[in-house]
Amino acid sequence: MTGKIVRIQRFSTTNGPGLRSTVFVKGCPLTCHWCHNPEMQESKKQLMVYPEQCKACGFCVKTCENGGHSFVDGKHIVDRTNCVLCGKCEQMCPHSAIELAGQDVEASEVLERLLRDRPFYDSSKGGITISGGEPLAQFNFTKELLQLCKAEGLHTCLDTSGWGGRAAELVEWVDLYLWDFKESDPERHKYYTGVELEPILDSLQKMNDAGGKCLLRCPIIPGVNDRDEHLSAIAELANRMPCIQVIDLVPYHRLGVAKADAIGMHQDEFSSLTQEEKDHFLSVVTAKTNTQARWI
Amino acid sequence: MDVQKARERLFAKDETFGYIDRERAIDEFLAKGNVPENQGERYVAALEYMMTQLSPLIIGDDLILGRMAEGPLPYELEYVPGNGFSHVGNPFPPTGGRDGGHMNLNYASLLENGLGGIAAKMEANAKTDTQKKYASLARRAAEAVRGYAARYADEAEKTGRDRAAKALRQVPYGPAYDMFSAVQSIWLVQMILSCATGGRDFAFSRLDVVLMPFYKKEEEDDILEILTALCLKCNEIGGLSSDLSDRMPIPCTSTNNYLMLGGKGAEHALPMSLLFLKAAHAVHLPQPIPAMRMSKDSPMEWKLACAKASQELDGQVAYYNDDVLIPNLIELGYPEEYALNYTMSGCNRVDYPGHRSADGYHNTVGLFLRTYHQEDVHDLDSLIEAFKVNMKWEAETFEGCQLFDPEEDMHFFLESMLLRGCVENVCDLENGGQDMQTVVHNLTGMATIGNSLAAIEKAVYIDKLLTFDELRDLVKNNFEGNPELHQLIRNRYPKYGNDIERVDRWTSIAANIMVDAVRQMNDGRYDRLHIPSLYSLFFHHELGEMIGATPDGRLAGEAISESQSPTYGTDKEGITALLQSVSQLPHNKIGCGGLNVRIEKKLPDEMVVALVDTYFALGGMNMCLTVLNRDTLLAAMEHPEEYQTLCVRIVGYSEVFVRLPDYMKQELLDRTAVAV
Repeated sequence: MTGKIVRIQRFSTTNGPGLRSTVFVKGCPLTCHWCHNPEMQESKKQLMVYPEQCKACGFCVKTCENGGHSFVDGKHIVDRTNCVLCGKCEQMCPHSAIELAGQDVEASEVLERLLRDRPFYDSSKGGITISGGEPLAQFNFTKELLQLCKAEGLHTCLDTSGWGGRAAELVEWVDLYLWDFKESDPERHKYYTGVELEPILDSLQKMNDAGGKCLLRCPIIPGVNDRDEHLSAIAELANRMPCIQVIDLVPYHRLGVAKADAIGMHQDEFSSLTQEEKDHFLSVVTAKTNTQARWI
Repeated sequence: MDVQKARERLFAKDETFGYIDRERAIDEFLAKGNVPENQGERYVAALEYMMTQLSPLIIGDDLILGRMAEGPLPYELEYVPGNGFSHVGNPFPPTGGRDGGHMNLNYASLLENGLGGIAAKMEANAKTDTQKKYASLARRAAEAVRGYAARYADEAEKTGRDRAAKALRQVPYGPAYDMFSAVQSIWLVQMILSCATGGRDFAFSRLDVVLMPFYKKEEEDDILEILTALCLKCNEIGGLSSDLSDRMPIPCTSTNNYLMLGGKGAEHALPMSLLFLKAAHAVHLPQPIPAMRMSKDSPMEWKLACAKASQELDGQVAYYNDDVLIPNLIELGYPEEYALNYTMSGCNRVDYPGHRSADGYHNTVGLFLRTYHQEDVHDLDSLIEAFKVNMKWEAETFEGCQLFDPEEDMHFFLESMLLRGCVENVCDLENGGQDMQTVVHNLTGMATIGNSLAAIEKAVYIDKLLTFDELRDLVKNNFEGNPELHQLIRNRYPKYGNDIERVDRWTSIAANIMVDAVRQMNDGRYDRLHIPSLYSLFFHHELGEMIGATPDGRLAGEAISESQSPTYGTDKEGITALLQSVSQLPHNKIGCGGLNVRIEKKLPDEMVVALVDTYFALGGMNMCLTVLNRDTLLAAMEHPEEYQTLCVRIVGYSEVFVRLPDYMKQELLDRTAVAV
């Protein structure tokens, strides 16, 4: 089974327990305004150009047969209309300022690459994580990869928004879900993520009923969901769902803004939380649930 | 003891000052005339005079005593290569002819026998006239130090320091009798050697094991204070910058005090190993430099303490793998006891306690290039074969160690009293007195060579972009005329450090050729043991400046790769991939060598333990883990005044970041950081 991935990150320390490798798949039906991997939203390949790494050497201009790159007043201009995503400019860029995001790979090939770091997983009680993008948007590929990993005895995490309603079908091969819970208000959820909240909650319920376990990962975005009632709703959700082992509050970071620029998109920038705000929101959660909660 | 105050005093120190008493004493000694011609006699006569002249200085709440008076120097100084500056006509020339120190001392013997007892052993062992004469010099030196200690004892009494006064009436001339006297004994000798007679990098060796007989659980608080005082002392001698940067007009610009802790044979000394790390945390300064021995059987308590130290001491910590090094050293020719008790005697030089090894750096990339451009080399196979031949020649004609001339005048150096063999043979280290002569061959730039071989294979044989000779001409011309191909090779061809089998294999082939060339010398033809090491310290810049472009896309004059590290910036797959690549090197054949790894932020200690354990289980030998955030380094470059205490550690040396020269600061920034 072939899937589309962007990269495999080795030595991943924040996507589940221990030392892990994380497979980032390409394509996500959600359009979260703060997405930290905007290059993984589109399911097709995309050309990324990082202007801050570009030294205006002009190799890309000479290489591209379709006139995709030019420099105007020293500024790197990318014309994506004629880009055929051949990747030649990426190959010729001396400064890693150009990246072609997206590669087709067999699940078995991914497994082979993941197994390289098996000694590190074993010694640290780590394993592998499938993230993205939305892994459930490539359900069959994700399932096969999880099955292959479990057959090798690897610890598996699935980082998902719960989209698509089929997360529970994978319980047998997922040791731990990293369940990204973004917003508890249905209207705001629809506005900020582009999809309905209810099917996601149903999916969580089904996973819970099927005996799955998860870390509930809650990005807290200033001006979007940094409200006491949202934090309270997170706590209440944890009280209702025994599958939730830990609540991870995830602070907003701006990584997505530069990456969105690199693919020619715009992403809104949000402010950062202060330490006082973080302390407060954590206390709102811990006041209402006995489930462990923490900032990561 | 007010550690903070002591730290402030250190950072406020005027590094243009020198050891004023010392220079004055030398001046007077020379002016008095009747300076003996023989080095040994001159040395001892000067030592005797100096020991009566150095002020028994005590400052603040000094606990362990022994410090040098510093001030502006009115005396004429001359540069001593590798050793800072010294008085013109210095009666204490550096050992080894090149740099003083760089040895670890048999402090176990000092504590057991005292200098007086050691001198007595020499007197008993002396048979020939020369030996008798040498033993008499040792006796005079011991007595001279005894006199200095007595003057310190008087001063201690005056300031109400009864414990120090009592100790200094006994040590270092006599045996130590408790933890305080033991540490006091060691410090006074360490300071005299580093500052008065003047050398740098006298390593403490395994002090946890050496001091363990004096350990009492109920006295842990007191012991911690004593060790903290010792750790502070280590920062008082020498400047806080190294000979990379500003020079202090004193002997030992940057004396490093290496401290080997833990490992096999130190299991019983675990409380002392842990207390030393606690003291290092309390002091949080570049010195001493802890090096931590580890094996798969080490207790988890030790592993976790090491993980914490390696992350919180601004990375002033290196790990050594007992499971690899001990068998290696035995196979190389170390007696088992020495291998079990291995320690280090400078930078990254593995050694046994009470020994000085010679060492030097091979310009192996230069040799590889000369081979590559040889007329009879016309393909990869002939390149490899010719490199093997040339590398053998390089190793065998190495100038890393002078031969001892038995006809030479008798030498005397105080440190010889603490070196194995010199006491038994009643013969100075400079006359070949040590029980074993070893030479460490530092083999440099192996990633540059490995990447070059892999690039030749890909460009010529896999991609068939050009012929062997065409690529060679291009390299010879510094890639001029074909910038596209240069860019392709330099930036897109696979590089060592990314767990790519083909490239790692070539790097391993290169490393094996270099290492085997040294090892084959241990076949009985030579009177000394030759130890291969994959290590470059900071010479990768200097060596790179001397040579032309290499087939991996490196341009003429650019730095070669450092130690066991990939070429900076080329390992892009994360630390686990890096460690997988490095573990392919012939760690089972070498005696030294190191890998620098910088991570961007602190990890849970358990994760660091897993990382180190796994790397060592894969066969890795040494790792220096540094937690350094790029933003912090950039901020320190912009506002040095706010980062006066930011310390950084690279295999072999430890520095205050803001005092490094700019190119070294930049290198730390360029060093591949592993985002976590």
